[in-house]
Amino acid sequence: MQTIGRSAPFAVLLCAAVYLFTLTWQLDFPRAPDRLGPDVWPQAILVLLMMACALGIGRSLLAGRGPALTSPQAREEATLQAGRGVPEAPGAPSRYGLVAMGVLLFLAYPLALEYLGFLIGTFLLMALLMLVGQWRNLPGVLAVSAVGTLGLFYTFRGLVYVSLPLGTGPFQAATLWVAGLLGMR
Amino acid sequence: MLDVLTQLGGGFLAVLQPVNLAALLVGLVLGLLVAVLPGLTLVMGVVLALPFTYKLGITPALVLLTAMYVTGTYGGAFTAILFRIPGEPIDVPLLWDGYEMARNGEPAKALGWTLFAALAGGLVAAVVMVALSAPVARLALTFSTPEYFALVLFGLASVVCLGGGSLLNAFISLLIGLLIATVGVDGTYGTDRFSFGFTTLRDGIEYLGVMVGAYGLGEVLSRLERGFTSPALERIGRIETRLPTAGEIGAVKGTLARSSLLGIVIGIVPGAGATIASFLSYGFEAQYGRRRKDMGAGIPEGIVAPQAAATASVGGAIIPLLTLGIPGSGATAIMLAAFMLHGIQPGPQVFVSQPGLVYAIFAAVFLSLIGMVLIGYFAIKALVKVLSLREAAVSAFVVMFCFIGALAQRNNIGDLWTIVAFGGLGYVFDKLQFPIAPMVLGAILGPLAESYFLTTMIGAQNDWTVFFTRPVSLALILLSVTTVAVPLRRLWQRQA
Repeated sequence: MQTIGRSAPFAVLLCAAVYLFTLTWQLDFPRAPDRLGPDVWPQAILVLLMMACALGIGRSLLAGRGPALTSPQAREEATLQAGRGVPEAPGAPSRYGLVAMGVLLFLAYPLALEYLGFLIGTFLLMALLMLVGQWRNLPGVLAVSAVGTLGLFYTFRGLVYVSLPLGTGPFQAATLWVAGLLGMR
Repeated sequence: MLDVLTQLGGGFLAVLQPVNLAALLVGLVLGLLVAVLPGLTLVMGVVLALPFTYKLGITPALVLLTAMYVTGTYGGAFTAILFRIPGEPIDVPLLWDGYEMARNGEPAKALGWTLFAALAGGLVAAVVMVALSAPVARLALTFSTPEYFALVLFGLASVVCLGGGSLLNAFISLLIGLLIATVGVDGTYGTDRFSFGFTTLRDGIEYLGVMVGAYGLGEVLSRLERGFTSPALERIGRIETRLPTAGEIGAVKGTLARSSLLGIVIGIVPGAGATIASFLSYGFEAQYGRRRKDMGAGIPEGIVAPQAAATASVGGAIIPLLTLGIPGSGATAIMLAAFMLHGIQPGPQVFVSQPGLVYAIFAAVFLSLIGMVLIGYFAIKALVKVLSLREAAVSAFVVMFCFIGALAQRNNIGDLWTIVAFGGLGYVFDKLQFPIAPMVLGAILGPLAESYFLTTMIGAQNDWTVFFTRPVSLALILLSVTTVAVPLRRLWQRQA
């Protein structure tokens, strides 16, 4: 079971590479016998990717031992490779539910921006992300979200002139009202 | 030589212009902050700053990023020494002697040694950078497309092999990056590749979205998995920096020279940045240094070696970026992106067409080192205060900077989906232990590699031996093969 789990990412990538390779046959361009087309470069990459994935699958199946990081030294090395500053605490449990909620918030944000506008959308995202991230001090969360949202809005709309979404209907009116309060047009 | 000094003087004058000076100051503070905060890495900080440099001119944009890069190699030393919290992976070796010296009752001295080492190593590298860049650029001007393709190949091979971890995973990450770069309408034939009918994909995938998503949102998701936590800080009474005396400095001059040289060389090699420089330099000193037996007991050599090498790697990494257009580290990859966002392709031609910009970057390195020392000496107490910020709040701001950065590029909400997608991919990469840097570099250098490859093949009537019949191209290809072969051989030996 563990072997299948270890080789699964390589297998998925291999399937994707094979599918993309078949797509390169359908590319539409004027073919000339003495000239390389736009299909050659992606084909070369995909062939290498397929070979690398096959190697990864073979290695997972044959080795029988995974890259499970059990020793503190191995965990520290992995942390450093990942580019983080602080090694994870040993035994810290993975909470995939939090990650799923984080992803949902990220996915909802572009939609919220269109309808609710930058101010309300950002306030909600910041507050919910901090709550999901286990900060239980509600007044603190609300204060940081409100000050942060207004600070970002003023900095990027008022000073850097980034065109931040205003939202629709009443939300647009609310955003423009706050902009007016902050002295922005 | 006189010409170089004159141009460097012009560079200093350019950086001292109000807009550029303001960019330098902002970069200094931001670089120190991202280095101090454990949730933010140097590369991530530079990535987050990049989108906000659109509205600036190319000179202030690069001055800001350069200042961040220089100070980012130093700021984490405070927290490593005082609280045993390395703000960056670069600072892990400082735990072994820096924190030990602080525990032995000399935190001010330990901070003084890091400050001295960062300044000295950085200055040595900056001088080498100025002296070497123009000759290397002149040599590179004689290159043609086969040499450039071989050069990009060498850069990509180094990124795969020097990043640490699994070679296979790094190689796959690189190939995914190269594949991402092929999405959209190709520049030569106008053929639509892998866009699946989506208009957004026909324009190609912006490498900025790849970087911001994978480094920014991906990292936040990885940290969210453990629940955002804030470090518990020890109470420190008085925080101050005491610089070493001339006599003490004389005793470590050998270590300083070795570490600075090692830092410069590692910086020049594509793919190996400040972290590798810091670790290798400490390891070198522990193996061959005069006081190798005392390493780990809180001696100055154990602080000078990693810190001098880390800051020296900045000057080294800027050389291939400016002269060859090949980034030597993660941060210089972002600087390369900044050049390209402003429509400039770094390489030897920049020395001809934009010498003012090149020397302004050089001057920014020198001025950043000076500014870093001043801020590090006088504002250390204020800087370490940021450690008391809640990680949940810092992460919420990181996420917002990612989203606003993506919005600022084209004012297109659709671009936010790209960074969310790459954020998810960055998280998956982290879980599966696939490094992100090769993918990002593949996405940035992919179009260049394809263009050089196709142009060469068209020019040589599809004769692929052209890459092996030109001496420089052949040498670079052999170097690439060696770069891949050496770690592979070591791996096989270890398995055998």
